[in-house]
Amino acid sequence: MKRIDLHIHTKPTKKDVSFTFSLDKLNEYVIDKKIDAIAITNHNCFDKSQFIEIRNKLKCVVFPGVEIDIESGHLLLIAKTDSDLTDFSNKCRSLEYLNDDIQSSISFEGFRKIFTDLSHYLLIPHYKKNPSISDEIIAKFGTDIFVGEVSNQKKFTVQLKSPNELTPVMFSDIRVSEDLNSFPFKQTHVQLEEINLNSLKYALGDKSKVSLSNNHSALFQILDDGTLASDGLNVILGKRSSGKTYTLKRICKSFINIKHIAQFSLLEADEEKAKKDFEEKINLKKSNIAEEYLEEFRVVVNDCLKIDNDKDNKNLEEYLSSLMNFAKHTYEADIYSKANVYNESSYNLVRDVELVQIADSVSTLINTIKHKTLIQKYISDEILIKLHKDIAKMIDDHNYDLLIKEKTNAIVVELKRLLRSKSSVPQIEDCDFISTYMNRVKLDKFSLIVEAIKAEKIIYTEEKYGYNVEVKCRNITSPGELREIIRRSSGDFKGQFASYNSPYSYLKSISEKTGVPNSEAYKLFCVIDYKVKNSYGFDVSGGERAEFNLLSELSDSFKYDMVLIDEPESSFDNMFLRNNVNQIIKDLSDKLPVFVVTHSSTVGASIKPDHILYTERVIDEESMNVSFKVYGGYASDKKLKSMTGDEIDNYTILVDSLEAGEEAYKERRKMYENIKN
Amino acid sequence: MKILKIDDKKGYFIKKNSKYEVIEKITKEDIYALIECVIDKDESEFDDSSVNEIVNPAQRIIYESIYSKLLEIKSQRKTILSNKDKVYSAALEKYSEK
Repeated sequence: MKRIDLHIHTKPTKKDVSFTFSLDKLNEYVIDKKIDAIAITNHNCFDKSQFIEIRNKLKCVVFPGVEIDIESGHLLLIAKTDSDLTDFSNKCRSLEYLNDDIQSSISFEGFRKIFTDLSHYLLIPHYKKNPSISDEIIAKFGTDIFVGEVSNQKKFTVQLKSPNELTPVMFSDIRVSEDLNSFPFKQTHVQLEEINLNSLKYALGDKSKVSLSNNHSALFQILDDGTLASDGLNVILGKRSSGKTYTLKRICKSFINIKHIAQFSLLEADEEKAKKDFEEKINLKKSNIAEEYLEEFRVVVNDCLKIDNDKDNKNLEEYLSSLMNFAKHTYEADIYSKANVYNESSYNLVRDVELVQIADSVSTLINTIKHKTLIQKYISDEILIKLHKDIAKMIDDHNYDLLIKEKTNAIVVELKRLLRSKSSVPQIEDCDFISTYMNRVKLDKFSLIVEAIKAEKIIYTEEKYGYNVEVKCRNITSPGELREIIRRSSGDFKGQFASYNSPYSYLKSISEKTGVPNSEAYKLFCVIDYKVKNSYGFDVSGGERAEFNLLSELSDSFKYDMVLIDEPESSFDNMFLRNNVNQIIKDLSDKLPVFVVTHSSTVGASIKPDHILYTERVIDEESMNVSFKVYGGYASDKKLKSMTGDEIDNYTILVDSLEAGEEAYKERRKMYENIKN
Repeated sequence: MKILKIDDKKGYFIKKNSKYEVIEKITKEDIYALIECVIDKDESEFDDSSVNEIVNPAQRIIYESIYSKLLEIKSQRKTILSNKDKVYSAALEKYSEK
């Protein structure tokens, strides 16, 4: 088996966090993790001289490569070790513009223009890893893509077992910086003898040739001594001070993107602080819900802020008074004012918004892959394409018409200016009637929307872990409430609040007088109330807050690649653990590896773990040095084994760790039976 | 419905109360009401062929200026109406939901 890591960053780009590359660290990483082959895959660039330096220093095989932003996902492109590096570097140079903008990515077609013969490369898309490349784009690559990168061990195993999925690989995606103090266990083991791109491609084409450990088991390495663990649920047992938390921390150091719920972290040492923290956490959720709810309103407010109603009124007044004035001076007309263009109005430039929307809709119908059959049942591609062509022609004509009108307006304005400078007759001021009208339409609709937002309404409800979360939107009832929303400790805001019932005046007032940035103005039209009640409809108690926090933390864990939980029983009662926590932990372990340190039989045994790790403190009698030994095995194994070959009885461990020994266990059972009888 | 008319050699516009008023009495609110009328009511019409019949040259100038502006709006009425319907429609729909 060869251990490979084909996703390594050695150059910071705008798409990365900043770091200083260290060649010594990279060398250390390769030696420490006994890696046989790596690839240098920086974002959209390839540094030939740095690559040669790395290749000369390292003892392992080093492939040239690049990580490309393509179709909103990432793709690793690995080249042969004997590639023409100048040619490869030139190809990568034409990707470098992608690093200028964090959002930009190349199209499939654009990519194919640069890399014409894909047989020279190994292509590995982000597959079950963000930002992933869609199945549609992967399908476009055909047989050139047969392997996909995943973010955690569970996804690796699931993908490995699915016949229709790509061969999974898991790599470190490491930024090799000089301050790196631990190295991740995120490499893939591949069954092959000699490492070159062709043999690698051959091996990766066969799922039976890849694994996360060198012995082909479903387990993966978690500690430097070779200790393995399951990609599902692992329970860590051991006596007090036997190194359970220490082991957990070591695991934490060896992986990336980990959720670590530390022991006692959810207990309330200070009730007031706990209440405040809880409120803050709730506020964070509230702000997400509020922002989502108010998104369309935000766009409306930003648009209305651009309207200057006073100016519109003034323009109309000026038009009218200048018209009257000109009419009065009709008998004084001179050769200049008699010219037709003297009082000519500008063309109204009305854009046909609907036409563009129709073109987009037809385009969607043409381009859909998912619903193609349904659409073709009613209308053929041929007709849709004809329709699209006709609409495109209409848009072109419309745009051309607008362009001509725009040019004409410019000429008219200039001619009017020239004539005006020669004549003593007052000129009629121009006024864009349509723009004035549309602005008023906008403000009328804005008022309607504000009224709708101010009407009390439940905008979000959720039953979460037995608690009811309810989010309400309502009107602001006092200047004090407005101040709270603005988050100011001083200022009475009475002046602004006085115009609260006239939406446009209120908007102008808060924009001009509160110092709130215009981009935040939309938040000052309503109050978002967020309440968590227990199942009886009452406010939550301290214990309930801790429970809610734990469940909330666990629920949040799904977006990580691994979860470590240290003694959850420290903070909660057994019924809560069994009824609420265990199921979430089980669900989590279906998606990613979970490690739970526990002394509780409710967690440790009732949860039915996949794998047991037992830690033991070892004191060297001569040197008195303390070390920790770890035994491991499946939950159903009779014996747990350490990496040095020692064995320990699984049943004894379970009963000792979770039930305080067999005697105590039997006594308790007897006592319960007596009470029952 | 005629919103601008020429009668007895004078130019008139229609007020909100549907009564006619001589054109030189027009105000900015009246102009806005006329624009609304042209856009909202397909049947709105205005006298055009007999502008030269208006005897008072001042009246004629005012009538011609307003007439030409309203005429341009009428020619773009469908597009304006369609754009008007689309103004903030998604937001209005979302927040008006009970």
